[in-house]
Amino acid sequence: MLARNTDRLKILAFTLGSAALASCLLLLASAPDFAAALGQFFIAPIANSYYFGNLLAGMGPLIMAGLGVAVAFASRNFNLGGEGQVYSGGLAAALIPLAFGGSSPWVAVLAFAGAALTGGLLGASSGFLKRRLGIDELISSFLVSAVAVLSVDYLIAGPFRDGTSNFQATTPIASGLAFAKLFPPSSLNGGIFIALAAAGLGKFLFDKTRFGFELKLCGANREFAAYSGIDSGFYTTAPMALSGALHGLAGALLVFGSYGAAMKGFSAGTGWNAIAVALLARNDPAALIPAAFFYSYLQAGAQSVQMGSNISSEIMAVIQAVILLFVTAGALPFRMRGKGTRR
Amino acid sequence: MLDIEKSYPGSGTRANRGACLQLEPGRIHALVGENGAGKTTLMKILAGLERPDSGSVIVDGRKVEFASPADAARFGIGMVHQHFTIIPGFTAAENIVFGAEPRKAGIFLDPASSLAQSREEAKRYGFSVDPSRQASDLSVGERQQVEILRLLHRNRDILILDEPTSVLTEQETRVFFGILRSLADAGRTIVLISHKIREVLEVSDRITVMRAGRTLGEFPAAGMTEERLSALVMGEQQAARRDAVPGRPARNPVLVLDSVSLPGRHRGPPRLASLSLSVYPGRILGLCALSGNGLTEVEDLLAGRIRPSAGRITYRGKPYPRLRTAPWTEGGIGYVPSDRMGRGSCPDRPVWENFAAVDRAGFFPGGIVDEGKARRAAASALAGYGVTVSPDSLAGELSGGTLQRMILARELSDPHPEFLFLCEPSWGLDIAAADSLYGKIETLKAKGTAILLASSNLDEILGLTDEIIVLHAGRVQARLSNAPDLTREALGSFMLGLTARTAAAAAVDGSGGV
Repeated sequence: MLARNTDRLKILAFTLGSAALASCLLLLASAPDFAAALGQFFIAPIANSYYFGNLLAGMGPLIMAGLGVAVAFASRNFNLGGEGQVYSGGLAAALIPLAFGGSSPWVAVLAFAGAALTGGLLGASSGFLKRRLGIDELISSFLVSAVAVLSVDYLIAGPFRDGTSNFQATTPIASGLAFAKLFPPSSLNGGIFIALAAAGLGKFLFDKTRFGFELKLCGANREFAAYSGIDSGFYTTAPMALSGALHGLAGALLVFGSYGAAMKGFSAGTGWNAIAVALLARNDPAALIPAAFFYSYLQAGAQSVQMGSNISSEIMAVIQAVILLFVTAGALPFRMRGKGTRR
Repeated sequence: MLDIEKSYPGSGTRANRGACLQLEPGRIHALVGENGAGKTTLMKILAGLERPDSGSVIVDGRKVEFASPADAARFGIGMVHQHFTIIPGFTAAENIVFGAEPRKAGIFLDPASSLAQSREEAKRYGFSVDPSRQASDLSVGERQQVEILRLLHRNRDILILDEPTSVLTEQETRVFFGILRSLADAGRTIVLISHKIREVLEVSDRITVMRAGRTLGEFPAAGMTEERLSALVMGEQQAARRDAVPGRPARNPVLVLDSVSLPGRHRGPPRLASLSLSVYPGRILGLCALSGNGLTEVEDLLAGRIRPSAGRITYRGKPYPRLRTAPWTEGGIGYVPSDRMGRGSCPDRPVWENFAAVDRAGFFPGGIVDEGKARRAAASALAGYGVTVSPDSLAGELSGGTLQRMILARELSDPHPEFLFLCEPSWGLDIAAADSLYGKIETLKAKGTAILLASSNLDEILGLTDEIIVLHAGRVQARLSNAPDLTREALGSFMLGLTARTAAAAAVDGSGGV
């Protein structure tokens, strides 16, 4: 076990190191002032309090959605519909307070429940299709999500658009409802605590409870799980539903924390980034916290370079994609080795 | 191989201590010894899967060092493991050529010639597997043939086979030995890891005996006797053949299969045709068949993997449970599966979790894990089988025999289970461990446990059971009550479908139908 963990750390260090090197090379090629860009990319996110606040703020939704990815992956179900689940969950969270009015905390609870339900239903639909009809959940969740994204786009820009605003966005929720900003002008808000609590709860669920044990066993060896008397069909639908619900909650965190309303395109790839975070954390809920920190650090760095040096957002997107590629590749040796060592 | 030393620092075992082995082309070499004698480790070193701490491997007069199986492959060395590496979604032919596919113009895969080459190779050496079939549909015996064909396809000259006959039935073993002989005659070198003394004497040319990591010596098979060889392996004289202890009268069956049928695949003949059987408290019913004749299907039915298309399965008068409960709980079922890696254990999880998995209600009181209880339960059950591994070691790191004992310890840990379903229970066990297992099975039978024993080991069937059902082509070929005059040869002839007997046992069994 010990040797395994050191191997793991070695690969992680190698992954992060090569990702950093690759992004340096890209910056070198595209930045007019390489040294300044380097500083803006790597140092500013921690040295500048505005960027650092944004860095921490970005972690919340990543942890929550990353937990959603981990729940599905750990049971060997692949939820590629995270983006649509975040987006539609966020819309639900933005609309429920408008329907009820007021700023009672119960409205917030209701909004989060609605977000979880919306995301959960989307996730469960793929789980159900896999269990009943054997339809690959990877494909179905992706397709359902694509439809969901376009539908939410339409709803935000059409029926639920706030006519008084120039943005394509819903009417803002009552200011008393939105999470307090902890570190203005950065967008750091109370939502981070909800995400941290969720990661802690997830760690407990995975490592200590019967549900987590059965879920992980279904992921490790479904045949053995069924042999042991575990209803493996349940662990197709339930993790997909739970995964969707957590993605929905991540959307609610974005609405209640950063935006105060559902703006068009507000999910901004959170569902996809969460996959990278969960891969980096190897589906360990506790490891989601440093993984989300790392990913959010990259994003804050990219934001800072864009503002500081004259580099287009496309170049920064390429750099992020390269880092993502390294991280995903770093996760592969374990999967393959897990198969290979069977004697 | 000279003076090979190999230790595993993790578990502190010295698997090989100065082991030596010499192989000659065109010969069948047997490597015999008890569980944990170091046979598999020595062969893994030869196959490039493990590196020795010291000692040398010499091929054709040259000292070589294998860093990987690919290095060993360059010298024509290939190994078939106890646990197969078949890709279920591929056909047998695709599995055979995988990684060395025939190609058109050097680029495109050529499925037609893959199939043709596989067929040709299978035919030349007398393999019975049909290369066009889906690998997931193959029986264990056929999967093994695919593994061997895979090595032949790659022109390996030295074939290492780890316990190859443990999955084969009596007649398949005959065919298999014929294949080995024709391979040896064609100049290939075979290394057979085994602890079945009789088979080793029958098929091999030279025998190397291992005990506690050392090689005791190499002996010609001609002139060696069963008694002398088992004395060398065991260090003591072996027990005589056992006779079955008579069971209780057959009353109030625990498990009943009533006219259970399964349709054939791809419009083939039915996999099971109207199978009826009853398992009674205090009695052992034996089930035997050649692979591909319905035994796997019976196992999958009772494992809940598949459902019968017709007929009923009842357990204590109620429908057979969809999900199994732990053997030591009320109405729990002890089930030792024939597939110990895929079904019987989870190799990536620690031993204690492999125990906790079958009784989540007991080890997760209030839904929260009691790890201490699970570790203690695992350790004490394992101690009863002479296994001293830590409950935290991964199941996949245990040797084959140890893993089998872990599964037995788990499934037989209840002092008085109601029903036991044992498939190849002595698989991978040495003579002493198998004897102790038989003692345990007989004790449970005397206490009133109903036992269904599916085994390809005919000595086991004859030595333990009260009644025997032989399946052939998915049908009951014979229902027999076990008697001292029943022979392996008689059973073999039923299994081949040469003779049939279905009425005799009905007279013995008062309630009609075994």
